[in-house]
Amino acid sequence: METMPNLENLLPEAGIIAITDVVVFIFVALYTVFSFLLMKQIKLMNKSFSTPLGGVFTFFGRLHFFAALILLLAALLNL
Amino acid sequence: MLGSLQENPKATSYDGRDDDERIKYVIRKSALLTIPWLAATAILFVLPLLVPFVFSFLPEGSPVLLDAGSVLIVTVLWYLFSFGFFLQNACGWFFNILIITNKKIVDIDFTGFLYKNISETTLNNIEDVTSNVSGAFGVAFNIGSLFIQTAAEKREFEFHGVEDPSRIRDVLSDLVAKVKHYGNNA
Repeated sequence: METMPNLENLLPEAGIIAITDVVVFIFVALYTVFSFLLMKQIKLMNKSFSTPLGGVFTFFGRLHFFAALILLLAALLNL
Repeated sequence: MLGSLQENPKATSYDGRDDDERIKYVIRKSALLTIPWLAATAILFVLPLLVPFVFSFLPEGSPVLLDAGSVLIVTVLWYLFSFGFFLQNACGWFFNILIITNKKIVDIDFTGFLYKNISETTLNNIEDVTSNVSGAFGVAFNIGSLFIQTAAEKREFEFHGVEDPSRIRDVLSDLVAKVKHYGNNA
């Protein structure tokens, strides 16, 4: 009786890990774009409506983007 | 500063404000309406703690899909995403506002990344202000909507989810009456 081929039979474990590393990198890259857009959006919001709390949003927007950038670098090094 | 109706806010301005224009009120959605996304953020932060529990159900010898480096990156990405979710919602709540100045009302709307809408009309153009509270949640917490009819090109300004809409309607109606009577320096 024929058995169903599973992932391990089709690809060696190292191959699976290489593929998932690339997938993780793509996700992180997409997330970095999102964080960049969020940072720009906060800048636009602050321009439209300026308030003493605006600086807090700008700070966290930038922090979020730079954290995503560092993570992108880590994902690149992990490839 | 975080209330639904902010009176005479300090060090606050908007793009296009005239030199002689004073911001009298800033209106934003009720803080109670932030509870759903605050709860969702809390769930997002807690969810990774369940991963070891879920993995304990996997059969012995299951194929390894991620190496240690990727596991760390995915974990950090998850927490970053949770924070990004929080930040985007917080900005959406904080910056979607209705501004009432001594000259006009300005409605600033941001939806996602790709939509920004700013409408304004002078107080002289305001013809009618209506407040509305509906639904069990609205009645329980006195949260409702504000409809401002104008004689301008944009016929109606709508603002939903405000605390005590009757008070805001009253404040705005009084201001409009004063401006129509005494001019913008009222």
